[in-house]
Amino acid sequence: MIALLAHLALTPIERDALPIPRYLDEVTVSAAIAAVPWSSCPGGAAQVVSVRLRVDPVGRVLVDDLPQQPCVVGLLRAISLGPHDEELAQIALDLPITPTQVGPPLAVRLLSRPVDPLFLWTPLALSVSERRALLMALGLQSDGWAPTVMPAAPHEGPAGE
Amino acid sequence: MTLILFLFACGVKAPPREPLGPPQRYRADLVIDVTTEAVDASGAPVAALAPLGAFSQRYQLDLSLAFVRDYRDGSEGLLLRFEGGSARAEAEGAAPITPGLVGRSLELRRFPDGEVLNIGLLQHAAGGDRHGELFDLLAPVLSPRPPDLPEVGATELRTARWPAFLDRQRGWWSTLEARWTLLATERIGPDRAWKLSYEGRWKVDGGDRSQGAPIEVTGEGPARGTVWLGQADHTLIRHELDWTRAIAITYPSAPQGPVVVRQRQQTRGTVERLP
Repeated sequence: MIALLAHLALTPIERDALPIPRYLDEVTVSAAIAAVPWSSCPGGAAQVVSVRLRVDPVGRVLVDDLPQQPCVVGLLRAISLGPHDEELAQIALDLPITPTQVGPPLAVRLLSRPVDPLFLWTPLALSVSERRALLMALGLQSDGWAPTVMPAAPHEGPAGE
Repeated sequence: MTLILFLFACGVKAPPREPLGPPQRYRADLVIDVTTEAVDASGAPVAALAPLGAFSQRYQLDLSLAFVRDYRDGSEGLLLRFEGGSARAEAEGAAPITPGLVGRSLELRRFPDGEVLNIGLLQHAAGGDRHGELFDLLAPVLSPRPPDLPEVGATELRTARWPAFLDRQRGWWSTLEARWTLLATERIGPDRAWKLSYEGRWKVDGGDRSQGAPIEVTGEGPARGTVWLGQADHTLIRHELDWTRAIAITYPSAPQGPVVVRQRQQTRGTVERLP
């Protein structure tokens, strides 16, 4: 009995499990990147840039071609993924980045899965326009939906700032 | 004795398999025909849903299947990734496009004998114009689990069942109840393979209970195919398939009364392991 209990206690639920990332994708995004003002980065106005994201096999999201701008640090918020405008993701930089560290790759952490207002979890194969028509007919979606870009919260700057 | 058992329990475990080792690569060449209609309670077409139409598309997809994790129950997680490929409407002169599925991945959880336990991350392939909803069948197609058939000509009924759930309240079960027959043993390149055929019914049953009025999902259709399985490791070498499901989804609380969306999906073609 002791041995059995010891065995159960020592055996993890998923032995040698490798966390599956929620995304294993390569996508190009148009992102509103809120530059975080701090002493070495005057101004810090939000700007829109295009970046390419990859997710590596252990779940880290990599930004390959972040523009070489020292103020492009801090947070990525409410990113419209790829050509499919119905998807939103919330992605935040995982590491505090200094101007000298800007450049590929940066590790970012995925905070939540996309909120997809046009998402229907069914086996139906529908195009975006068909899905939109169906949702409107069902009273679940009004017309004129567009992705929204949420501003970064001021207190979510890099650590130490 | 207790001490011995304790030491046994604490003993060194077998080293884990290397995650994301060399993947197996497959080429899927599939023609998918889809027709859709929406009707009200009386069976009349819903005018607002006239845009729901039909398409016939040929997908040539490069897939990879790589081990990523072990589960405690002995099952394994495999990463099924859409590495590349093209999609082309069957209409004459249509130009091929890169399907939106490319670059996306699912997790296929299965037992080593092929039994599929789950399809994870399918929501990532669904939505948009990707039509990933059509590809939940890839799990049992890539991981078939025929019965043990002792000799050529032997036949047996087997039921496979696999889920596609977003969460506890939203998803569907698929069932394939098919009669399998061992046709031959063949040499496929360097491999010895069992050649098996199957024919049966493919059923879908599920829904969405997250809404006030539950949405019901049902479906059924014929499925048949021929499978070549490697005798050495039971991995799929080639799969010729022709699967059809007629899905009906009932939305009970539409503003104008209940709406039923029907969609017939036929998927036929081959999935073949690449060297």
